[in-house]
Amino acid sequence: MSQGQRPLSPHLEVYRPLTGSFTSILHRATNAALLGGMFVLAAWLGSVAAGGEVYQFVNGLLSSFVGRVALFGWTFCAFYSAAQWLRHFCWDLGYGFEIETAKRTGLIAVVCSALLTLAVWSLVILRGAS
Amino acid sequence: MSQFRSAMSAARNHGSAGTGTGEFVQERFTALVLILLGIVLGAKLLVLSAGGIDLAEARGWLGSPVNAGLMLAFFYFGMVHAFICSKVLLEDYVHIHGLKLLLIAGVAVLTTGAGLVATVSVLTSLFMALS
Repeated sequence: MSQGQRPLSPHLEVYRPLTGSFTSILHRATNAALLGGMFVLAAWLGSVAAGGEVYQFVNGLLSSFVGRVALFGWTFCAFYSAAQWLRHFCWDLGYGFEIETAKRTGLIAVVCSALLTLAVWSLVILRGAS
Repeated sequence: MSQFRSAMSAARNHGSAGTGTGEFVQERFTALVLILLGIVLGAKLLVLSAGGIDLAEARGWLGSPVNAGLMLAFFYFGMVHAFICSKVLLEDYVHIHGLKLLLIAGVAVLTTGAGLVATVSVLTSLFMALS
């Protein structure tokens, strides 16, 4: 089959860890996680419509420790996916392909997403405490 | 671009199928819309889902037609985006043809289902508040 000659996407076990492959693989992983997050959001919306014990149950899951860790994770995934898409928009317009620039924007995407996640959750926790 | 391909490359089925541009544009368009909607909805959503909000407050929020509309848009674009992204992942990493098609169909069913659940739920909350 001619299929074997085709170039493949960054495969986890093939690529040496590099900024480019790492940021790409992380983007794909975060998007998969966000799909799960959307299912949970749909379930939460359903529980709001259903009300009563259903809402108590879903709300209880989300406000448990595990639930909050998951929400924290999804926050990072959302910020990182947005940051990656901003990089993609630049690439689509023809900018940012130089190796040094691509490395730098990849690093910025990871660090900024982490900082924004921490900032947002500091606000959530402060708001919850007040 | 087909005039630049040799007869041999066409016979070997190399190169693009020529139908990917629509999906490429859709993927980026939905990403842009989701970033904007995410900024508008995200903060409120996090505070709501962090467990500090009771049912009445959640219903009050979704009872506003503006919030309900934004949430419906978020789910529509979110599910389209999620489906395309998942399809890309499956096409890249699942090399058994039948399994790949089955998984893509599964993701289509799941994203459509989640979109329907969200739509019916949001509309239920909205009409409950309006009636």
